[in-house]
Amino acid sequence: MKKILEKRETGVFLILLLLCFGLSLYSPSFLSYTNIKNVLVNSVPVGIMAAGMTIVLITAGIDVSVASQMMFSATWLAIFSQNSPIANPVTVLILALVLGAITGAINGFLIAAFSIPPIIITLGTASIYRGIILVYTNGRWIMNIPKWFTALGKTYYNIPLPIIYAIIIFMITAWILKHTYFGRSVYAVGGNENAARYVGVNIKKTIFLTYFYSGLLCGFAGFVLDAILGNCQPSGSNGWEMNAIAAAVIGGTNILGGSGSVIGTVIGVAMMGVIENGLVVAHIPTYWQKLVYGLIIIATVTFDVLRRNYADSKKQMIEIDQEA
Amino acid sequence: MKKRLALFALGAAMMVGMGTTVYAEEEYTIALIPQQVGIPYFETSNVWGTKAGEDLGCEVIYTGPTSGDAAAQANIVQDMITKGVDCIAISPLDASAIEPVLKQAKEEGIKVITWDSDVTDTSLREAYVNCCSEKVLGEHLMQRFAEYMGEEGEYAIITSVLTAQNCSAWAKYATEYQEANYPNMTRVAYEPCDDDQSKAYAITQNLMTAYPELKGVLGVTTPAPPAAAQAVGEAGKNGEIVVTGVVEASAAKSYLEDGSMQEANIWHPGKLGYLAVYTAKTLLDGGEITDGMDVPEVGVVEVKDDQIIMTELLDITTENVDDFDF
Amino acid sequence: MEKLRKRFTLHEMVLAGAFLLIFLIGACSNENFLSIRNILSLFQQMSEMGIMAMGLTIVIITGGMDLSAGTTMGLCAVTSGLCLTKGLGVVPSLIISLGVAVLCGAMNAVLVAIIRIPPMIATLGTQMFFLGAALVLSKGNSISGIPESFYFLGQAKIFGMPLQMLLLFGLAIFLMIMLRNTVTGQHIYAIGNNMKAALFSGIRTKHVLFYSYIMCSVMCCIAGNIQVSRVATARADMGSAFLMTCISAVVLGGTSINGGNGGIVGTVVGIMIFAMIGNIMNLVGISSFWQQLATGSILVLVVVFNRMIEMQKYKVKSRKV
Repeated sequence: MKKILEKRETGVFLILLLLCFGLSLYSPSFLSYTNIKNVLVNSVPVGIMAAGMTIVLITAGIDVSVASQMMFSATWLAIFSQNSPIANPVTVLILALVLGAITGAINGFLIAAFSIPPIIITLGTASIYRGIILVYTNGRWIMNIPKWFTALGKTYYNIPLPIIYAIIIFMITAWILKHTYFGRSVYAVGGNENAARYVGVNIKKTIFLTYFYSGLLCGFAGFVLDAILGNCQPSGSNGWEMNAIAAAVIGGTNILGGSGSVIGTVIGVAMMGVIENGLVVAHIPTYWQKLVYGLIIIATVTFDVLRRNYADSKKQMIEIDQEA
Repeated sequence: MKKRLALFALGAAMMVGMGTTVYAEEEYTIALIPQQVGIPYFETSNVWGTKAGEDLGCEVIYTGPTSGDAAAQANIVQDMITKGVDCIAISPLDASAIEPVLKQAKEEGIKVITWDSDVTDTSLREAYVNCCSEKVLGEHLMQRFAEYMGEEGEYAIITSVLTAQNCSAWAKYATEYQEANYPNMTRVAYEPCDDDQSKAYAITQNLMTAYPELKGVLGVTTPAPPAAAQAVGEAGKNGEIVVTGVVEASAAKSYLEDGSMQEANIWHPGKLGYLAVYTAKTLLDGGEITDGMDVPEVGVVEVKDDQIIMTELLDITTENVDDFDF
Repeated sequence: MEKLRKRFTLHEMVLAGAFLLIFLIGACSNENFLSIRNILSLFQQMSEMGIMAMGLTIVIITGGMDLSAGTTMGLCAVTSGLCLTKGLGVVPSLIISLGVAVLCGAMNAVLVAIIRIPPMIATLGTQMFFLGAALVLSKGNSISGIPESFYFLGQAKIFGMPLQMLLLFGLAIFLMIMLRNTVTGQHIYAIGNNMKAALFSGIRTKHVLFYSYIMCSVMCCIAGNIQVSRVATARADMGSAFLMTCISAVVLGGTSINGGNGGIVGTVVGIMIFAMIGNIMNLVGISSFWQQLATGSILVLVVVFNRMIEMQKYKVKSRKV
């Protein structure tokens, strides 16, 4: 019990439960299958990006180009699926991963090879990736993505495919973090880069792989986005990178690196989805929604930080006691 | 060629600056400035406007802000003044924010016309190429919408961003018309979708949850109706929840056909762009557009004071959706 | 060359090179680019962004970040717009909107300095909060009917130069002196270099952080009021589009994103580079979508190029040793 309470995710999870409880009192339809499904499905693209972001944040990095990478992939996929004779679910999926791999590798290379702060590189590449698709499409939307493509984003036997994708991605990411050498190096690099170097972790390689993996997931997120929406708006999803970062941080990932978990991020993503849904379901007046949204985020993070500071101070006291 | 043009433009700007009005033999340069580039609506205006330029022998520069930022649009107008264009045809993002720079343009002797939407101080422009007033469209939207709703039930309006003037105005007039004429209808929500299709989709789903009695969604910005229709279709509520609104034929097509959207109400954005360039050229030549004039490619236009009105409002349904190229 | 190298840092030279290059491209591609009118209007257009970027520079030097800068500008713009249209005079309106800015900055500082939320996250929350507040105040409408007595800030010219351009340079000089020659300025750098060391050497870090965030918000407020005056309208979304460009400009200008070094001059040059790109493209008639691509490319190129020379130099040095 005590262990659960000390876990970083617990606090946010409690807030999430409280929020859901309040909303279900307010509107019984909040807990309906359809609503929960909609909230979860709409959170999937951000969720997939947030999974990659978690790893990036653990290495004490940041990737503000994820939304651009996702749209980069989504746009080319939409064009490809409409025009190419070899377009089918398999080639589209491969293309999604390839596109994500390319954008991710560029980020990773620039950051790792030149040791430039990641926020600068990804700020730049965010405009570049977005710029390329906007220049190519002239900002026009790509309408009417083929039916076989959108079929990949639909619900069958009450099971929405996008949620399955997200679960798979979360599981893979959690497995990588926990059980692979790369995963442990990620924590090592974020915890203390010098120490990691001394124990023989290849820092550059780890950092490169981190952004590469984040890129891969963004490519896949673009695939899911196209499948859910059926159209592609190259100028869309502006600012989703901040949602992905916020989701990871709300879920307890330390933006300064060294700690974080996929399960926390899942809670964070769900939290963001519930807030956005709840604002409408709870009939909050339109003009007040952004304000309330901001307040909830501030309150959640404040609560989490205060709780953590308290836990840290307690831990220190225990250590002092033991030393004494 | 480009250099010569630029030189000429510089010369023209200087001459205008000295206060002498010199009409050039060479082709005019007309800046066609939309509210935002990259929106299908304005891209159609661009295609037709550029075509008008070719037909009439003048150069059309189509450029505008990439986001709905009123100050960025003012910057572009300023740069166009520097560039020395002969006429600025603008669809202002904000009816008053653009005025200081248009004043500047007027002082430089550049002809200014507005199209698509107007400025508050009408003395700043020589003509307003109007599709129809915000009031007419707002009321028309509500009439068509109410007919499908059977004039009763709860409905919601999805707008672009809360700061978008024209969309807010359409929504306002539509709501006012409903309050005056359809007492059995109630507007339960008014939500912004930030011109993001995926957000409009999520909002429609949220609305259906929040208001189980919801009978209709009216989208007053182009990304909203298709996204709403998709959400309605996926919920299996085709026909139960009415979806209409301002949207292009190409974007509406598949939703009209599968029955999730009932109707799209819009004018021809391409013809509007064509008419804007045509008006600009006519005014530069010293001519005038008169009431009942038959403009090539566009059709008969109505002129009221300094407003040139292209009255034709299109009601796009499954039957005629294939007739439109935008 | 040696002399130059002693006077200026490497990054400053790379930046100056990029600046000159773009300037030359501009001068060659369009005759109007060098006209006095264009250069003045260029300054007029960039001053709002420049002032906001200078505010951000201070916060970034402390090792912080202010993602709420854009929406702070919108909130201040709406506040003064509302005051002005409600019939309050120019001075009271400005004072009230400055007061709002101080509150915004203080709110950020409380979250960052006292509760100790990482700045990026704290200001992400306040970003939405301020935008929400601006929307609530303005009901989403754009506020027009700003009295003409307020136009001086964004439309007046002094000796033919736009007032906001003079304001930009005035503020730049003020902030430069503040950062270089005052104790507070030194403390700002010290905190950015090493927060713990600064704390242990007796710097009142909380005070300095409050000062920095409030200063940043005040800069945003000034930028907002200039824009309200320039376009004679106040909107809640003003400044939102600026944020990423401003952060990029600060970084391009050589301020370390991790804090501890950098300066105002670099930021101003960075903003000038971005403003020139937009201006040149408009004059030549290139689609605005290319601007985004160009802005990103220049940021990456300059930073990578700079870093490559640095690495080269480092290698040479270590060989000599």
